[in-house]
Amino acid sequence: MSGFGIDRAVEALFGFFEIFNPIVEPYRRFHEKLPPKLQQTVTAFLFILPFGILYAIFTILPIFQTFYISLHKWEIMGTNIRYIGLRNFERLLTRDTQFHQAFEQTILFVALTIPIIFVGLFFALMLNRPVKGIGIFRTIFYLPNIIAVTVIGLIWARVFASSGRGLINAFLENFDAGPIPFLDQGDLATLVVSFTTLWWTVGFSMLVFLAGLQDISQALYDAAKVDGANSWRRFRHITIPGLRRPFAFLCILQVIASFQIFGQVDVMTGGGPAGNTRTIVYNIFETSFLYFQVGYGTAMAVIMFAVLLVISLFQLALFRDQGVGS
Amino acid sequence: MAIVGAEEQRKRRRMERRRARLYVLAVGLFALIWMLPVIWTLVTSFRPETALQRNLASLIPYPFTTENWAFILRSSQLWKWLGNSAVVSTTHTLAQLTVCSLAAYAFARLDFHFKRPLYLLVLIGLMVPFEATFLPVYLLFSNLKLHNTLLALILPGIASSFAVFLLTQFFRGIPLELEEAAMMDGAGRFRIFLTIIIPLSTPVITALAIFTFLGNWNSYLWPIISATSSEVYTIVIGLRKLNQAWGDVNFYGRDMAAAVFTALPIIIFFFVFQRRIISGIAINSGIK
Amino acid sequence: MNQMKTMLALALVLALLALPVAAQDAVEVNFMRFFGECADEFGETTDLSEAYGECGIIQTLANSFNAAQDEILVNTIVVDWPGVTELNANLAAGTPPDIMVLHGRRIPNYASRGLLTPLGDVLAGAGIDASDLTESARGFVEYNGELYGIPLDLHGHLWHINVDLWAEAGLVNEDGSPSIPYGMDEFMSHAEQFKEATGLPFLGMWTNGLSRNWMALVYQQEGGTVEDADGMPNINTEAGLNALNFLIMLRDEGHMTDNVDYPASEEIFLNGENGSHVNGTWVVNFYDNQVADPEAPLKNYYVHNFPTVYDQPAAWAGSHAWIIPQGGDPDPAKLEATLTFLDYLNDNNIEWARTGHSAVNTSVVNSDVYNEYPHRQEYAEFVPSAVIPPRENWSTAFESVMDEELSAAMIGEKTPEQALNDAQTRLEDFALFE
Repeated sequence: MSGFGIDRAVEALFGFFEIFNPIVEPYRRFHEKLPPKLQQTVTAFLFILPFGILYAIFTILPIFQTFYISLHKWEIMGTNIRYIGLRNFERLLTRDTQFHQAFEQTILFVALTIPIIFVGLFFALMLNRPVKGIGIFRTIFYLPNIIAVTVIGLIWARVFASSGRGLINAFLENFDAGPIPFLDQGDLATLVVSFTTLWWTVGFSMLVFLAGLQDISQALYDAAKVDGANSWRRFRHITIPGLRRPFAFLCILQVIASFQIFGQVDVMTGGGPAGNTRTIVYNIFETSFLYFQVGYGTAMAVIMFAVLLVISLFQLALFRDQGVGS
Repeated sequence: MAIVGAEEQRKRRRMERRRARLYVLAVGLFALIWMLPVIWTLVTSFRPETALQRNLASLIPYPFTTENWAFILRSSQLWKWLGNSAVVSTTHTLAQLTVCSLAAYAFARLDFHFKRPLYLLVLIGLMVPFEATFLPVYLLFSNLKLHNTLLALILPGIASSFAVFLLTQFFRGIPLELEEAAMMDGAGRFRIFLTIIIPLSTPVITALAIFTFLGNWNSYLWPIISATSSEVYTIVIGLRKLNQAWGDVNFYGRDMAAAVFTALPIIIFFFVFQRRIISGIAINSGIK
Repeated sequence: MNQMKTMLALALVLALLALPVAAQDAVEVNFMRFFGECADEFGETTDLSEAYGECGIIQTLANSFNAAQDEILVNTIVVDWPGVTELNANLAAGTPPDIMVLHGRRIPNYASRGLLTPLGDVLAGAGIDASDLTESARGFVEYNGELYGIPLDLHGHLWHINVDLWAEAGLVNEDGSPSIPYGMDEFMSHAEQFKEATGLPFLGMWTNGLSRNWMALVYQQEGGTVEDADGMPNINTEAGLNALNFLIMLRDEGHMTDNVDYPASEEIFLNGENGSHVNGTWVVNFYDNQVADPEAPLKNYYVHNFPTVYDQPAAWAGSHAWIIPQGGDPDPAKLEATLTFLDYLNDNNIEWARTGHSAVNTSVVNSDVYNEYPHRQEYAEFVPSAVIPPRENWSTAFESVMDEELSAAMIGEKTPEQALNDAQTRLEDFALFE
């Protein structure tokens, strides 16, 4: 960074600010008489103000509104709004089999995407060697992670499409085998979506582990070698403990991300077949926009929020224990 | 003795080199298989529709056609959506960096009333996923009649708890002495922020900018509900809409070309910022 | 005053970002529709004879309207089928389109909430003759006796037949036309004979969305229905179970292609990999175009109304209708412009019917041009056998819930009884909570 350019810009900016002097000067005189902490409070609030306004509008207020709306029958067009107490929750918890299925499916996705971390670890170990030219593979495996879900979903939905319009089934057709109904059988579709998620996101886990691996001191390995520890023992007693932090970090992140799966499902299966891949967020989306019951959809969001909050608190506790993140 | 030792060493080194080459080859083979769908997508975008109807599963672009690509590149819509994405993500990123770094400076360097409770309030945001609160935000934009505008795609998420947290952590690590010296010279807080803190934080700010940009560019849930008019689609949403034909033919090659077209700008972006992205992951994950 | 300028520029930039579409001098009519995105193919076409398929025709209609005059500019907004999500969203935002296509059965949902403009009084002024609408078509767009839309078609499921394959199996009449079975026995013997001769399945449909075909089969049975006298869902019935078991049996016996979605089911039929295929009126024109290609595997295409397996003919049907939502800024000039466009669309109803849909204006239905459209006479029985889904509040959920539960039974996740029972529970819950 050339300081020259920045300095010029800053000077110009302050030159511009001088226009405000007629208003600012009288205040400055008053300001200087304030106790130091109060002075800093005023300054700090000015610094925080733009953030604070946006944060209040788009994060804090919606939390309260979410709870408020969930106690109402509320149609998204603004029609039929009325307070109904906990009736949304009653229906949600006791009668709504579709929500129950979506909840179970989401848990299943969470479970099925946990292996991403282990595959990421495998990739990291595979690439963590001082071999020339290995760096390019880091790029290759990470690349899908930065591509939008629509592209990823489109490609993989076509790889797995059930008829001859899918890559795998078109390939099998050459041998008069198949077709395998990848996206038309519940379990298969769930696996396909999970695999797509793996392919899409594993590069992230890989990079986090690679960073973690490079943090482990080489001296530890050398010392172990001198002590005659074989490579498995070195892995078991040095690498694994050394990766505890990235592992914890990824676990929590993965659980939270999988809890919010939406794009892959929307693009690849539309929640099908037979509602088998419908997730909580997808269900919220459908309820609020297709069936226009935004009050009911918000009640679902509250449930999801509660579950995620528990997970997040767990995360904080874990991070604090291990001193991660600071 | 010495000569034999050198010979031995050379031999061993040769062996090692050969083994390394083999290893890279094996990994390369695996990477090739891993990326096969991408290669297939690319190849398919260069094959004519008639050939695709006969056999989809081919990696040889023969017969070869640029027709699909010509169609996609002629499409005014895709270019417009690309432009929308660029405007939205750039504005969003710049706004987030400005707003969050200002707030982070206060939390990192100033001693003021209500600092702890306010910072805690910011951290709460880390635990509130957008997916849990997007409905009230949606209704808010409805009331303001701001849906189907680029502004609606820019605003949410500018005030990011994560950004403030990350920047606060980083600013705290900058030596106080630099600031004190500037203050002796009569510089105000804002000048210090601009001339000392920001220049010293370029690595973290760049990393944050890249990930904010990527995140906004790739965001899906919010734009798909807020943008329902093709005028304001981002490229990510536009591609999705192109793929929803009901009662019409599937243009396979064309769809694949559109998919590549959508991915390409961000892949170029990736190669430009590759180093920073890869080191940025370590920064963002708090590992380093 | 430099800072003022900067501020103004900044405000201007923000305002520009907030502006949805640049306004023109002409009155702009926002026209929201599904039927697909084809601006890249038909964006410049104004000659209706060059247009084909749903998207092509509707896009060209809008283009030609814009080209013919310069007072009104129709701005097409393409949304996903069935458009309800986007309509709801735009109603929520207070920015509803000026005119939109909606399925007739959804009209009560919106009309009852005061979200649609009643058209009874305004049509005459715009020169639209509602009395030209056929009796049945009127029924699709009415709510409490008031007209809330102008239907543009009656659409529904038909039976698309590969005549060459039927001939191979000896299932053709002397004049070469397919011999159409009537009733269960004939249908099954056809299917057996077909499989024996060709080794291919007799019938195809997309099996991930069976609700429409299932519903038709229910209504083909004496007394079969999906709603009770109070307008509540009535899914778990004898007739319902028969229909579902029939579909499963067809699949199990190899008479019906399995595990296919919409595009795949089309693909299979067009590739000549099954004897017939259930799909809508909307593909007649499109399939006809496909057959024209000398290299196409499907050479001899015939289309009949939905197969009658039980006591009486019945086919799933629906209606697309133009509606004028309420809730935006009421602007008489805009309404007038919208009605002018609506009038234009209505006048060109015959173009829309080229897709294969049935027309809804008596004058069109009786016209020679209409009756001479390819294949039109082959499925003439479609209109009298058309059954539309219930027009109750739960109709929004009917298709998706039924699709899911039927498909769960098809892929063996649930027994047929359980699937219908679950569908009943879900729809009842939905209907009661509304």
